[in-house]
Amino acid sequence: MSIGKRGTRPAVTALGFLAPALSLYLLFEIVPLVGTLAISLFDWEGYSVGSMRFVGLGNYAAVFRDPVFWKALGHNGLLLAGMVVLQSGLGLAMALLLETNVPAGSFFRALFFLPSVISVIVLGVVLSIVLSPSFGAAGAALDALHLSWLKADWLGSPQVAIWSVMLIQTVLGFGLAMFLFVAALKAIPDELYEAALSDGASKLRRVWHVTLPLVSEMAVVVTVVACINSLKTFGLVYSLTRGGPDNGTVVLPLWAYLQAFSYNRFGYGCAISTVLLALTLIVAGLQFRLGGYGRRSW
Amino acid sequence: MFRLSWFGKVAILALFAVVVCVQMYPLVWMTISSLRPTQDIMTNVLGLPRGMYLGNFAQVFGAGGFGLVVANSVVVTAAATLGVLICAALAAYAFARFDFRHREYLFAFMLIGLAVGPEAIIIPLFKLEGMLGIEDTRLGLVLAYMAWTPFGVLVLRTAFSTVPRELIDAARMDGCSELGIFWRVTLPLARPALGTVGLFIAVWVWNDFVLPMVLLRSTDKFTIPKALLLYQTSYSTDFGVICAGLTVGALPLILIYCVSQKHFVRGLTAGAIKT
Repeated sequence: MSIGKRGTRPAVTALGFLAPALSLYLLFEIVPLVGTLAISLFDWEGYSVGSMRFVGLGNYAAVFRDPVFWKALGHNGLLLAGMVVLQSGLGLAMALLLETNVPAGSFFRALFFLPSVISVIVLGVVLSIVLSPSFGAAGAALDALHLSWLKADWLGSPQVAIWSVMLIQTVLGFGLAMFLFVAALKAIPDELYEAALSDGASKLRRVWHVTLPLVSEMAVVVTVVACINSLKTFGLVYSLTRGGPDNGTVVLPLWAYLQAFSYNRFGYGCAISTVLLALTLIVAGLQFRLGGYGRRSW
Repeated sequence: MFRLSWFGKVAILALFAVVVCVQMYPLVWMTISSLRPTQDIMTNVLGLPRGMYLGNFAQVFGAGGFGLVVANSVVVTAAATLGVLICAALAAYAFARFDFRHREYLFAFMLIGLAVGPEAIIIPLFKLEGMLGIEDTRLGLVLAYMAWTPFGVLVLRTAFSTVPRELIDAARMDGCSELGIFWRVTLPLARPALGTVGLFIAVWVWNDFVLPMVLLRSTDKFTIPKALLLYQTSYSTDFGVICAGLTVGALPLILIYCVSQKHFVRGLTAGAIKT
C-alpha cells in the first residue's frame, strides 16, 4: 500500500483527505441520527432546550399505545410487501421480456425508468389531480374506453387509498428493479442457454432452470433495496393525500413529521423516527451481511 | 437470450405499450394541460391545446414567483453537487490510496448514511440548524446536502483503486505532491465515475422535498418541490397553473435523462451492488 510524502505518516495525510467529508457527515448525518435517539427520551415541545423533560422510555410506551402508529406501521408493511412482490416482480418480468429479441427493447427500457427520475412530488401532485373522482382525467379516460366500472374514489376512500398508493408505486417505480435484473441477465453467458437448448429444454424450462437461479443473487439485492425504499415512503404519500383520508395512508416518516412539526411533540416524533431507524438498520445490516450495499431512494 | 416468433414480438410490444400508457399518461396529461386555460380543462379534461396558450406559465412565474424558486433550485443543486463531489472525491481517495488503521470500519461507518434517509433524522436536523443559526437559509440547505457523500465515496473508491500504481509512482518520482496526484492523475482518469456521482447527487437534490420542507419557511427561499406543494393548496382549483409549475419542475430531469442514460444505468448498478 502507498505511503504519503516522505516524513508524513500516511494516517495523517489520509485524515486530511477525509476531513471535509467526515466533518460534514458527522455534523449533518450522525449528530442528527444520535439526536433522534436522544430526543426520543424526552418530553419536549421543541422550543427551548431548558423545557426538555426526561421521560425515559415513556414516549415509546405512548407510541406503542397509539393506534395511528400501528396503522402507519401496517401501511409501511403493506407498501413493503407491494414493493417486494409487485414492484420487483414487475421489474423481473419486464427485464425477462426485454432480454428477448423484441424490437425497440432499449427504447422501452429507457421509457420504463423515466418516472423514477422525476420527483415524487411532481408525480404525487399530478396524480392527486388526475385521480380525483369529480374532474380527474383518469376517470374521464376510463369513461372514454368504456371501462367506467373501474372507476372509484381512489384517493378519497379510507379503504381504497393505501392500495392506490401501492399500485402507483408499483407502476411508476419498477424501473429500478428492472434495470438491476437486466444487469444480472446480461451477465449470464450465452453458452449456458445454448447448452440447455442442445439438451432440448423448452423456453420456459430454460427460464426456470437456467435464468432464475442465476438472477437469485440480484433478487436478494432488489428485495433489500425495495424494503429500505418502502420504509422511506413519504413524499409520494404527502403529495397524494397528506396521509388522509382519516389517516388511511399515514406512514411512519409522515406520522413522525406531523407529531413534531404540527403537534409540537418532538420527543414523540423522535421515538417514531427511532422505530423507523431500527427497522431500516435491521434491513441494511441484513444486506451488508448478504453482500450488497443500500442506496438512497429517488 | 430468447428468439421470439412474430406473434411473440407483437404480444410483448402490445404489453409494453399498455404499461407505457399507464405510466406516462399523468405526465403527458400534465404537459398538455399546462398549455390549456383552466376553463378549457374543466369543460373537457382530455382535450388538446388550441394553439400555444402560455397564460399558465405567465401566472406561475408572475404571481407564483416561480422564477425565484427555479433559481433557488438551480443554485442549491449546483452548490450541493459540487460540494459533495469535492468532499466525496477527497475521502474516496483516502480510502483507495492509503492504508490506515480501522480503514474498513470507517468506510462501513460512512455507508450507514446510504441506508438512513433524511426522513428519519429531520427533527434534530431542524433544531441543529436553528442552533447554528442557518435555518431557513439556502446555505443551511446546501450544507445539509453536503453530508450526502456516502454514495460518492462508495462509487469513487472503486474508480480510484483502478488507477494503475505505476502512474501514481511515476508522478511521485516527478515530485508531485499527494494533492497533485489526486488532482492531476486520479481525477482526470476517473471522470466517468465523477460524472455518474455528480448526476445522481444533482437528481437527488433537485427532487428532494424532505429537507426544504423542514428547513425552509420563507417562500423566497423555496426550492421547486416545496413550492409545488404550496401551489397544490394555493392554486388547488387552477389546474392549468399547477400543471405549468409541475412541467417546469419535471422537464429539466427528462432532458438530462435523455442525454445521459448511460450514466444512470452505471450509477444504479454501482449503488445497489457491492463493488
